[in-house]
Amino acid sequence: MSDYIPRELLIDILTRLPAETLVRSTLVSKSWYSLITSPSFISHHLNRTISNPNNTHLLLRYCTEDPIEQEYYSLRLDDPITNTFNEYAKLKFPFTCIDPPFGIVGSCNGLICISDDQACYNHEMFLWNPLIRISNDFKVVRIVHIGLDCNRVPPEVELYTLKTGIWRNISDKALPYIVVERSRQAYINGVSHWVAHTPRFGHGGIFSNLIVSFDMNNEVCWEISLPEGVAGEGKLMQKMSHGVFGETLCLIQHCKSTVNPHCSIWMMKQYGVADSWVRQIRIDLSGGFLGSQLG
Amino acid sequence: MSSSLEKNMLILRSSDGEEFIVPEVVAVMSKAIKNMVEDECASNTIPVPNVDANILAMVIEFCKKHDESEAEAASDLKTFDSEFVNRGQEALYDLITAANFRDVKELLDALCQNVAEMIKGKSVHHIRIQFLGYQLFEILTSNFIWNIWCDRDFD
Repeated sequence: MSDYIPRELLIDILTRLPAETLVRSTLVSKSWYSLITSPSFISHHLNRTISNPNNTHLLLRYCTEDPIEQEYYSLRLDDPITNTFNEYAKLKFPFTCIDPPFGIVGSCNGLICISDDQACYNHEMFLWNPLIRISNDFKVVRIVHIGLDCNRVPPEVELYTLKTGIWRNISDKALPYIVVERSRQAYINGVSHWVAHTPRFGHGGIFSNLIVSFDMNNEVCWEISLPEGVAGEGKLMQKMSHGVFGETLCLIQHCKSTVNPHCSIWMMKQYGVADSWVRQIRIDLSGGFLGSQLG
Repeated sequence: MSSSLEKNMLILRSSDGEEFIVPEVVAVMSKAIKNMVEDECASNTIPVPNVDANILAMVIEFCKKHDESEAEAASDLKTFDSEFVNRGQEALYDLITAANFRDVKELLDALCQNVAEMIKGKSVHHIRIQFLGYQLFEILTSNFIWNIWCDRDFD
């Protein structure tokens, strides 16, 4: 039948299939193989999957310590109607690390970047595609502040591309800021974001928090200002984290001071426009304690 | 016949010469027919080449249902769609061709979804038989090495 079906219709049909079926379908014929593994098809399939409102798979990690330290990954379906969170599929986790569990660096288009960095630095980093082994080209950015004096800026920046398989030093593009250690990265529209601050003794002595972003396509860094009052000095007791909500950059401000501890969530309504930061919610934490923010 | 035709009705003529009187709102669910009507190059009778009476009747049935059921619950329409497209392979192929050439978006959408459901969870062997049909022999004989690779265990 596929011989009769026009190519554009075959693409339409195949993009409706789940990734597991697609991987199997590459074995149907050579023409199906070349179609399904082409970058344009992969993007097409991805866009369709993302735009499907019924697609509410969440990746859950569950770690055990006893009898052995082990991490388990599963896909779960978040169903707001029945209010259930049932297991959809168990995933085989093929890696082992020196000091479990792995640190999760971030995820993008179903690909997960994990790093063996919980106890110390270096070691190994993995790009893991839990469902399939086909992917377009992906990039990983590594930002390292070398030496004990972490205030030395700009940091060393390296870029890894899956296609070439090598790390390339792009430190000349780095900005003179300190990226917060193990800062969670937020990924929106091809741009990665990290929470950073100015060096304590540089920059005319003015301390300021900000977001450093890196455009994966054009390979350039730039900075995004934080809301006024959040960015400034005297707020050293606060912890900053950020995440993505839909296509919007969010900021989680966790103020740990003994007087009036609180946590606020900000949204950048218009991407890149510092004036468009709006505080969405402010949670009073005087009665309790907040560990870490997940995003 | 055209003189007695009510307002806002069109006649569609299938490839084997059968004529169907259809409300214009139903006929223009085909984008190809809509363009013809808008460009005023359609007389009262619109020929629908490549689509025989049998298939044309099915397409009209689908469009009528979709036109009438705007007020109906979306789930009812979905049930109708899935029952409508549940046909033998030949009719399915003819419907896909008709929906594609005549550009009937909703029908094409339902048909593509149905074919996708047919592939979902099936083995490679099954998909080949279903979709490549007669080509199977050719594939198996002319592509020996490729098949050794394909026959690996794959889970």
